[in-house]
Amino acid sequence: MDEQQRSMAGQNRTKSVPALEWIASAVGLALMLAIIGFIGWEAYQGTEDEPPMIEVRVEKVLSVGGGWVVEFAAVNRSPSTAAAVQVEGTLNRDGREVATSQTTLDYVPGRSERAGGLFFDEDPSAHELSLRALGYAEP
Amino acid sequence: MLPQAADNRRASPNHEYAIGLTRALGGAIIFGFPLLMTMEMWWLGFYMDRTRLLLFLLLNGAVLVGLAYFAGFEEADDLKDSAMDAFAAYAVGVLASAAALALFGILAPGMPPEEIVGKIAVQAVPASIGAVVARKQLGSGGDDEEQDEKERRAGYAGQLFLMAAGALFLAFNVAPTEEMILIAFKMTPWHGLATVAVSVLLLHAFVYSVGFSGQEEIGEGGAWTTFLQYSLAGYGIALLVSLYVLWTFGRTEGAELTQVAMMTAVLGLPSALGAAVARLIV
Repeated sequence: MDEQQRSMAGQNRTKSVPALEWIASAVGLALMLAIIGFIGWEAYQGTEDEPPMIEVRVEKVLSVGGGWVVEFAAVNRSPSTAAAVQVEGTLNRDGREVATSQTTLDYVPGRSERAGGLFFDEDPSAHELSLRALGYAEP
Repeated sequence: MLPQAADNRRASPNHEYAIGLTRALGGAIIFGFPLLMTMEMWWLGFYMDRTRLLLFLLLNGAVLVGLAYFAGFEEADDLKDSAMDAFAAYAVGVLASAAALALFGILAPGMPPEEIVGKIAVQAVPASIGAVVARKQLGSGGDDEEQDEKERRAGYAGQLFLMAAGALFLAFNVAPTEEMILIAFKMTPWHGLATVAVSVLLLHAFVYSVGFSGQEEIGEGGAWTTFLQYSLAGYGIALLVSLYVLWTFGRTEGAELTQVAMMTAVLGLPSALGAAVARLIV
């Protein structure tokens, strides 16, 4: 029995791989294949030539401390990322520009959206509100 | 009584391995943290060129296997064992990165999969290297002699590999930041030359002092041979690694050749230190 136990212990130390090691390695291999597969697929799709396409839509208009804020979401429809995206909002009444407000989003990643807000002194809901992205820098 | 004893014996390697995984997690977090808290790293996750990212991930896998071999936290004498350790370290790196990014609110449920996977993939590189190195340092089975033996068997090529891995690791720690480019802009060519000289001298100082622990492997042919064989070769590797990392992160895009050279020299300083320190760690 002693002999057997010793040989078992010896085997454990030198040869046999603990079950946990199989599990950890399998999880690691699966994660590696999944990530490499996903990014490989993205690389294969080739996203580099398309310019960013940014749409800005109004989410909410809120009244805050003596003014108004227009919360917006900038949605990038293209797979290419845009950096330093400038968003401008204008208030028009009777075809005349009443107020403009501007902000910059650090990044709008490809196929993602980022949110922001523009402050106005006039009530946007009493005017014609239009939002648009002015431009971007390549990251 | 007896079956229980047998159970204990069977559970013990698993237990040992679990401790190893915990240390790997510690390594992943400690080595990964500076980059987990660097905003450029999050951005790289979504804007980095996918082909370059893919190449970088494959290279990371190879480096992990190599480090797992030298790590010798257990009998990783063959490719299978090293690969298993590398995969396990990768699992730890990915999970730790994902958890930390989620904790910081960098990953949110509404994000597209491209962004989430990209961010985790970029962060997992330093975290998994940290995991492998930590496991090496715990060294449950790998005593120093065994390691020295392995290094000796791997020979000069093995030493160069270790230097490259160290350079990659340290270069990667600073390369994503804007400061690399900013420093290059601020420097005159004279600053650049001085940086090169300082890098080589530091590297040589490390190689020379580390040489004392395994004097028979190194510095056999005198100071000048050591300088050429290790310090200059190491600096060459550090420069190549720097250039590669800059290219991977898209820093060389549209940059003039002299600017690229300057950036490489700037990044070459941490790379050279990494190459030197690799000999201490592994």
